[in-house]
Formats: sequence, structure tokens, C-alpha cells
Amino acid sequence: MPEQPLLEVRGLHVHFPLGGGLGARLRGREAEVLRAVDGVDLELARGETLGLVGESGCGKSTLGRAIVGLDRPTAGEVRYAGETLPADRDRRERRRIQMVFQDPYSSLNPRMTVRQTLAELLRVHQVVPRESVDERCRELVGLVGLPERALDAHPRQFSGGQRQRIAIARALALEPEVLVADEPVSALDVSVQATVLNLLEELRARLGLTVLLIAHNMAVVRHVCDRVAVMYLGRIVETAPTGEVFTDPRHPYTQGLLRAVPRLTPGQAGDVVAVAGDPPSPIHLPAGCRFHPRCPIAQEPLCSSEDPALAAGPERPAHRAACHFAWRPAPAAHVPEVVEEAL
Amino acid sequence: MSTTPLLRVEDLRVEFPLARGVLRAVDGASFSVEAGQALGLVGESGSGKTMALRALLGLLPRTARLAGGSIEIDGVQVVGAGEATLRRLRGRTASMVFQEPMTALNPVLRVGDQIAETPMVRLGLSRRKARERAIELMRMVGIADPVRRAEAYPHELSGGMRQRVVIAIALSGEPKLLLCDEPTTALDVTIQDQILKLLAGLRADLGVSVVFVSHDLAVIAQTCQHVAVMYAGQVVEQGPIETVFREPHHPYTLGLLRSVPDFDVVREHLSAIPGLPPDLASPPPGCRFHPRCAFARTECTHDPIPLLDLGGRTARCLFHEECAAEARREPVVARA
Repeated sequence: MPEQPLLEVRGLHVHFPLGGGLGARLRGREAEVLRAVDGVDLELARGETLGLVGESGCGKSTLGRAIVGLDRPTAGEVRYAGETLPADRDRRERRRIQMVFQDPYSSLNPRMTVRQTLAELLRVHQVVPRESVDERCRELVGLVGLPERALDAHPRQFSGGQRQRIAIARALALEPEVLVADEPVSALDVSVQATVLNLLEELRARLGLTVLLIAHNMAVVRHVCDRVAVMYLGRIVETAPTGEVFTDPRHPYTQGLLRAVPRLTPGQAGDVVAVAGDPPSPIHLPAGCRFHPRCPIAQEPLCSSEDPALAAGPERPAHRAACHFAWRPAPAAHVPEVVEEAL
Repeated sequence: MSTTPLLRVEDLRVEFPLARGVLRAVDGASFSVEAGQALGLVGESGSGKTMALRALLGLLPRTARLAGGSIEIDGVQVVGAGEATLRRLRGRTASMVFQEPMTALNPVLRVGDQIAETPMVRLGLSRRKARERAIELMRMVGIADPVRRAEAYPHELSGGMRQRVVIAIALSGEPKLLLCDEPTTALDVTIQDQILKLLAGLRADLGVSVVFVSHDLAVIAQTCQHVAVMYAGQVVEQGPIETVFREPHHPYTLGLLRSVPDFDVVREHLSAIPGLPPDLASPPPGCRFHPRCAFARTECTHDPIPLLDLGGRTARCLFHEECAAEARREPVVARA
């Protein structure tokens, strides 16, 4: 029996009602609903780094925010070490899961020095006794590789990479067990991205953190994560150990996503498009499998009527994919429905 | 085959006068593009790549000034040219594809009308003919159901569709040179893939030349035949993409390639370039990269380093041999 996961997400839905204004209701129109997260199950083992990948609008950030407690689930639950976290979390429950945001230019208070930002958190949450607050501030900046004098500077005095270090120090001030990092390097220059990624990896190893890394860059995920979950239109469509996702992806969306990544080795791009069409709107979701209109192996009527479950492969309990053909011979590829309709 | 390049830029200088001195955003950049070829201008934010591109069509911000150099597009000198010459050039000989398709399009005009504008105003087509041309262009850039989509406003289209419209507008004056400023940075990876393949197809079919500005080395690797790497306002290395990426002769290129997580080569640890790019108002003397460079010696810290001709490629480094040897020791890109 494997160890109980540190963090569990069960049947999580986060829906946002749209246009439910008075006028619409008077005309008897039903309010539309944006299904950002639409039935997600996810587990994080203690000490692992899970990469959550997908394109914009797939719900990955909303899922991250719901795990941290910033967005309220419509249904389902987030469990921490076996106990369900309520939608309204108290201070202690919030401390355990902390977040690092994408944009270090807007996520730090520009009018507070680093010391003020960190000290406030340490005092409010009573992380350390009052007299040790200053010492802890120094430890925190040291932990993220900044000099002590950084404590008395304002965010504007730092580069993007340094600001992201401060944001990480702020998240770590509360001594969380889980860190949710939402695109922590995508606002940074390439040469700086590596330093922040290396820092996250080092901190994970040193502090025994459990990390959920939300990213769109597959190469970053390949380098940093132990396991990967691929999201499409509010659902996890595939999850597996990192190596398997890259060498043996079973879901046609994952396969397309990987083909779409531009490679550093010149001259590898063919002229066949990796995934055709645009993602459908999360307000009007396709029936059956959500990927079927863009899928090159979709079969009628199966794929447009039956929603495939996220199922593990035979003898591959850690590799799960939500495709009718994930674990049996795939039918021949054809022109996807979106392209056919367009012609 | 030695032809006159379609675009030839020599010693380009773009400056921003500041209270504390002069910020040299582009400081002596030279590059050229042959007909039908694609050149990638790659560098990090502040390297001068976008300013260099904007200078080509006289599209610099008001606060900047073109301080010197020569820009020849299809035999026409742009530097010092009057507004009339520039206007003839823009849209007809060369046109721009911008990064953010939402801001590049007019939000209150139907996209079909926006595409038809150049054919009508500049090519003198009738309203009806221009409209037919717009629909033909939309089909060419892969927009399905163009007759209906021509009636749409930009906000009714997806990001990828909007970028296709921007490309259709850029092609509407039948240009010889397409200047692309991070055209896929705002797009998702599968949509980026669609747009890059579209641009590659158009280059092959129409024979247009392309200058492609990007911070993404992999995007450049898949779209361009030549690359110019920019650092602190200067081109530090230039050559055919294969040779530059396989065996960089400038430590900055090597550092940049090694700091990017590559899909095909998984390294234990990503190596970042230490330090930060210099302040362009007071760059360090000698080689601008020397404070961050592992190969730097005393010679690198005094006099400016010229762009050295290495036979088919150039590099602004005295120790380019050492750099290349290091690149051979641990290759940065996978062997094909």
C-alpha cells in the first residue's frame, strides 16, 4: 500500500457564472457557466514535484488557486494529509500551502521594503517569537540567495529574477509544506530562468517541500518535475512519471503538445501542424471527449458521445490517460473534425 | 551564389537621450538578409533587437533617434530618407508583423476591411476587387470560411486567428521583406506551432525574406537559416543557424544556449549566465560581456572588440577558439 499522498484533490470543480444579470434572467435565459476546472482528481506525494501543463484557458491556474484556497470550489474537495480543507481556511490551514505567482512585478507590494513584507507575515502568523523576527528575515533572504542588504530595499530596486526570489522567500516565510508555483519563470529572461528553476529545485531538496509547478513550457517541466499532469479544458487528460510522458505519451493531445514544442536543434520542424484548430470555449464544451473535434484519431460515434475516464494502463498504475484508445491499438489518423468543417 | 542582399544594415545606431547621458540601445549593429531567406535576431530584453527592427522602417519611438549607420532595403537607403520614401517602403517593399495581434488591429473595423485597405489605397484596386483580394489573402493564411470571417471584428476571433489576420495585412501590399517582432510570443504552443509553420510555408511559396525577432532560441532554430545574436546593443555573433547553434564562437551565445532547458537534451543542472546585462548608458569598456564571461582575460577589458570574420560567420570575441572548443566538449544541441 503506497504512502498516503500529502495533498489530494477529489472531484474538484470550479465554475464561474457569466452574464447572469437581471436582464438575462428576465428574458428567461439561463446564466452561462465557464467551467474552468471541471472534475479534477490529483495527488501529490510528499517531497515530489508535479508539473501541471496545458495551454491558456485550460484551467491550470484556477486549479492552483483552488488548491491554495484563493478560488472557491463549486464542488469537490482538497485534502491535506488526509483531512479535508474547508473553503474558508483558518490561518493555520492557509500556512501549509503557499503560492508563488507568475509576475514578480505585480505580486509584491511596491511600497514595502523586503523586510517589512517578510516581518509582517512572520508577526501576523506568529511563525517565530517577536524578538526573532529580524533574524528570520535575514535567514530567508539568505535562503533564496540574496544578500542581507536586500532587506532594506524596495521591489523596484531589483531585477525580475531577484524579485521572483523575494516572492519565493515570502512564500517560504510561513514554512509551508506545499508550494504552488504558477509559471514562476515565464516573465523572466531566458538566462535568468535557469537560476530561479535551480533555486526551486535546491529548496525542494533542502526543505523537503512538495511542489506543484504550473507551466506551459514542456522543456522546463521535463527538467524540473518528477511527474507531469496534462490539462485540457478543465480536465486532466494524462498523468505519468515525467520520463514516460515524454517518451510514451498516450493521449493524442499530449502527443500533439509535445510535437508543437520548438526544438533547439535546428531544422527539425516538419510542415505538418501538431494540433489543428483552436481550443473550444470552456463555456460550450464539446460532448463526449473534449478533445474529439481536434483529434486525429477520434472515432464516431464513440468519441463524440462517451466521455473517456482517466484510466491507468495495464501494468502501468502510475500512467493514466483519458482517451478511449490510450491502452489499445489506435485507429488510423485522419483529418480532424475542426479542419474538415473548415474546408 | 552572390546576389545583392535584399536588406543590408551597416553600423546601425539608435540612441535615447537621457538626463544622465545617452542610452545606446543599438550600438553599431550590422546584418543582412538574402532574398528568400530568414534571419533571426535573438537576444534578451534590452539587447536592442526590437529597436533595430523598428529602425528599419523608421518606426522608432519619438524619444529615440537614429544616430547613424546605413539601412538599404531592396536598394533604397532608409537612413535620412524623407517621409514620402518611407511611406512607399512601408507596406509595399517591407511590412511588419507585431507581437500583440489585439493591439495591432483596429478594434472597431471589420477584419476584411482592414486587410482590404492596402490593396485599395496603395495598389489602387477597386473596392470590390480589394475585397476579393482580402478574402484570397485570408484563405492564404489559413483562415477557414473567409467570406464569413471577413465580417468579424478582431475581438470575435481567437488569438491565433487574429495573428493570421495581422499576417494577411502584412502580405496585402505584396512585400519582399516581412519583419516579424516576436509574432508568437503571446500565443499558446500549439497555436505558435501553427503560425510558425504558416510563416515558413509563405516564405517558401511567395519567396519573401523574413527578419524574425525573438527571445526564444528554439523558435529561431526552427524558422531561420541565419541568426544574429545581440547583446547590449551589439551583434556579438552571426552566421548560419546550424553552425552557430552547434558550435557557438561567442561565450554569450554558448551561455544562452546552455541556460535554456532543451527538450531533447536533459541536463542535470541548468547553467545560468551569472550577473546582469550592463546599463546601456554606461556599458563596461572592452567587451561588453566580459564582466559575466568565464573566458575573459585582461585583453577583454580595455579596447572595444571588433566583429571578427571567421569565414562565413562572425563573432565579437578574442577567445572564440576556446569558446568553440568548450562547445565541442559538451554539445549544446542534440546531434541530428
